[in-house]
Amino acid sequence: MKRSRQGLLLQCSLSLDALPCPLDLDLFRATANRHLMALNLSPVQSISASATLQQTPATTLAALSQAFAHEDWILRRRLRV
Amino acid sequence: MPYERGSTAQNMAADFALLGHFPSPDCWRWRWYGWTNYPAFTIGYRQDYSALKSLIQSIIRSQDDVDVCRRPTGGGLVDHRRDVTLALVIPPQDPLFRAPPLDAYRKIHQALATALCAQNIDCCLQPCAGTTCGLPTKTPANQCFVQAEPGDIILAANAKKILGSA
Repeated sequence: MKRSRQGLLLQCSLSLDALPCPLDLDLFRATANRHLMALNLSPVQSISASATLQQTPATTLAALSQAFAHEDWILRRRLRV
Repeated sequence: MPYERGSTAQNMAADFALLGHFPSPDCWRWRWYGWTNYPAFTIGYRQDYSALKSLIQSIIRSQDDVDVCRRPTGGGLVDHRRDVTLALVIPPQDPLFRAPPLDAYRKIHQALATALCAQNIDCCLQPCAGTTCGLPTKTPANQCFVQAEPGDIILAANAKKILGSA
């Protein structure tokens, strides 16, 4: 997780290969969204990812993408020695 | 929420924006997303990429290019070729923000585990081991899903880890 003044960021990964049976992904996300919304003590704003990005200043998002694409962050390499 | 795909850098940038540049910072917010460039991996904030190269190579068994990016969060190497990814932000005003990290993991993971159980995937949260609950493991794995940490979601039948968070 990453803790900052703006909040606590968690990045979660569900391994589909580890599941014993197929998962209806749309149903899973919809069900999970309901349960996550039920957790909230704070106001929650249902917002799409694209709306999030639209409300974020374009220059900010572009700068962030560039920062993450910097050599220190993105590591696109041929693994051949 | 609409499911979106992006490269590793785009996804990490969007997660970072979700944390620090959201118009309503006092709200919980989260996004589900996938990956446009395969194979895609992310590494923990403090991990050394040069030390992980051979591990990634052994996983994909190929010399092809890979899309790798460092996450803003910690943890180990994550293989995104076949996963469902969620980024979630808890606002600072929420009591969970100041609670021990394991409390946040357990609360979020319990909600996700309930959604998995609704589709007959019998799972639960990895319990703590004795008095070590909340403490870092002595030998943290370089790679996620090798071993389950307290609070991770595991299959009830065999304790295999299926979901973790950084």
